[in-house]
Amino acid sequence: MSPDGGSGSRAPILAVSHARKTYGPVVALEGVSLTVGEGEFVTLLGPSGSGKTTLLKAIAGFEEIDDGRIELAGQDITDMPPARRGIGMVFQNYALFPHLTVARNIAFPLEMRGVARAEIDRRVEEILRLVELEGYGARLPRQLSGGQQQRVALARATVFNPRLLLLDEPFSALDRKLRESMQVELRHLQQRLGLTTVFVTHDQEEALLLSDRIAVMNHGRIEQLGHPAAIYDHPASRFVAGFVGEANMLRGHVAGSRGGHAEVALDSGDRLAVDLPPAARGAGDLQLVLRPERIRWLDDAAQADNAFPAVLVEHLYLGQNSKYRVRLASGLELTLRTQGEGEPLAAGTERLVGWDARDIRGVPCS
Amino acid sequence: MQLTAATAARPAGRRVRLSRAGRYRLLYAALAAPGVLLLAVVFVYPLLDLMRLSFENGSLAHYEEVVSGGLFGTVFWNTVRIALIVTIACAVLGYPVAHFLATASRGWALFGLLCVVLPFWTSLLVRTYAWMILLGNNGIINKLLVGAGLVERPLPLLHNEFGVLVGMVHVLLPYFVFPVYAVMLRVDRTLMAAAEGLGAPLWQVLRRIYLPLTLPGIAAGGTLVFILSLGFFITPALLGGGKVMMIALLIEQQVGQMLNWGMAAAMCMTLVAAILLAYAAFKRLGRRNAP
Repeated sequence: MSPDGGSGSRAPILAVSHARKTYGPVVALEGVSLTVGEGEFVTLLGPSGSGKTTLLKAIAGFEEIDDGRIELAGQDITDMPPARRGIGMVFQNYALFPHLTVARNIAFPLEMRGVARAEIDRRVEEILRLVELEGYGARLPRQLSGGQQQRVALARATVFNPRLLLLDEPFSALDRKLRESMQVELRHLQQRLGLTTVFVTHDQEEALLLSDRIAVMNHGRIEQLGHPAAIYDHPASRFVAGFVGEANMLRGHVAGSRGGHAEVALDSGDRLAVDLPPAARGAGDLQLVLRPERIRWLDDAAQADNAFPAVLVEHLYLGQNSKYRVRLASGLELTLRTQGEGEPLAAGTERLVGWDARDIRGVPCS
Repeated sequence: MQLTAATAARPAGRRVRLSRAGRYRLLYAALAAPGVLLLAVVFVYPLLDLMRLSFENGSLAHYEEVVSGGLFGTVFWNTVRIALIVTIACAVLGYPVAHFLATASRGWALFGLLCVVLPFWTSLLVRTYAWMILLGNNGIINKLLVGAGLVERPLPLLHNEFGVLVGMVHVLLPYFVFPVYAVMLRVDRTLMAAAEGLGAPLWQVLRRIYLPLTLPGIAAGGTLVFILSLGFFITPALLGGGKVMMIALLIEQQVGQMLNWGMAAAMCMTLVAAILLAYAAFKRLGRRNAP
């Protein structure tokens, strides 16, 4: 496994080691290991079927793992029933009890812990204020909007000071605007309460925005674990590069050197200057990742380490930014992204495009 | 085809402009008419006629007799008591069955459904005779018990209240299971997982979440079983052997042996009133706790 950026100096609260889970012939988790430090926000990011939800359910205790070990604050909880784990969880559909009022929903975990009535009332009031739902205690969940239900679920999952908070795609049912404001609110709440959090999503933007660290999952494995910037800028595999952000995927091999950089001959025939770590220089086939926002329009070939004349295939206007598809003389097609509304270029326009040697990343060939 | 039907339902000759919704309402009314008519002829008319009979000569004499007469009172409360026992027994036995059906894998659920439905499809009379074969003094159960030396004399299982209860619970169990099963299918399973995750032991999940959420089903099934029990005839008649008196038997006696139609009609009306009352009570219970 790749270096994970570490959980820093923070003491690990959650430690999953070599978790394995199969459903008949389907392998849902293939020896997953993960530690989460105190107060840390870790996101499990991956497509559906990648095992991220299975891992979350295993941590919560709703799925038994076939092999491996799960520790919470140093205690082995692998075989502990969910009720005794002391973990707060927010479900994708919120799972609010429809027959209980908001206040009774939030009081539920406290009642189960035998907290005194007066104390329960005080803490329910307090958390309702924290999630800005004061005065909503007597309502039933169905009388609330989606965003409000979401906040009740969050309040219920945190009111008993859980050792760990789990969130299973909690924002997927909300519209974009509400989702963005809820994401910020969650992050504030999480930091204010110092909650150790494991968050599951398939939305890479959400993961980049919220997380201290991201675990990118695919086919029951963690493909890469690291800080959001490390995941984006230094993807460890072709899958990570393609799943997190957009990427132009190029294949080639080292063909020599040029001005202190490695020279790579692409399968398309183009030759590029690329910053490669020394270890990769001797390698045969290379997989290269070029982010669309790294490619620029050039006036002069000397403005970048790599410059190519290109023909515009398509211009996509996206409001805050613009996307262009261009074709090089070799036939290689690249996607290019610029900030702002961009120049309204007609298809067929010829322009010079380019990028520097450090803008391109090599990932292991798969 | 629907359109022609709708046109046909419109009174001929007159140009009445009806909205689309209005035309459909008319069509539905026309389609429902035969059924409503049948019910009116074979149910409502006899009921009204019975009511007329019960007020013979415009007097309340029969009702006075029903209310003051010791026999009807005794039998009435005995019926209510038996109906309650049967309802509770059906609930205790049926609730876990419904839960099993609602949560089992497809194969097991199908098998379980067949087990519940097959007796349901079998004639009531056949099933009641089957219980006579099982429970009688020379029945299978007693033969086994005596043969094994567990008891010296055959146990009195038939021609008493026990036999009646066993038969009624058996016959009425599906009426409880199906409504509860239907409600359980709609209960979101993640709610139970959520409750467990929030620290609730299994019995608390049941008491605080599952039972309240399935209460509408319990109320519906309970209503059915209780009301059907109040008017049950064949099973208590055969398994009770004339020793267990229930209202339906008493009414039959009034008609068949005493030829006292007025008295029987008054009893019928009282039974109908009791059933409506029970229905209203259960309905209230179900609505108050509906999610």
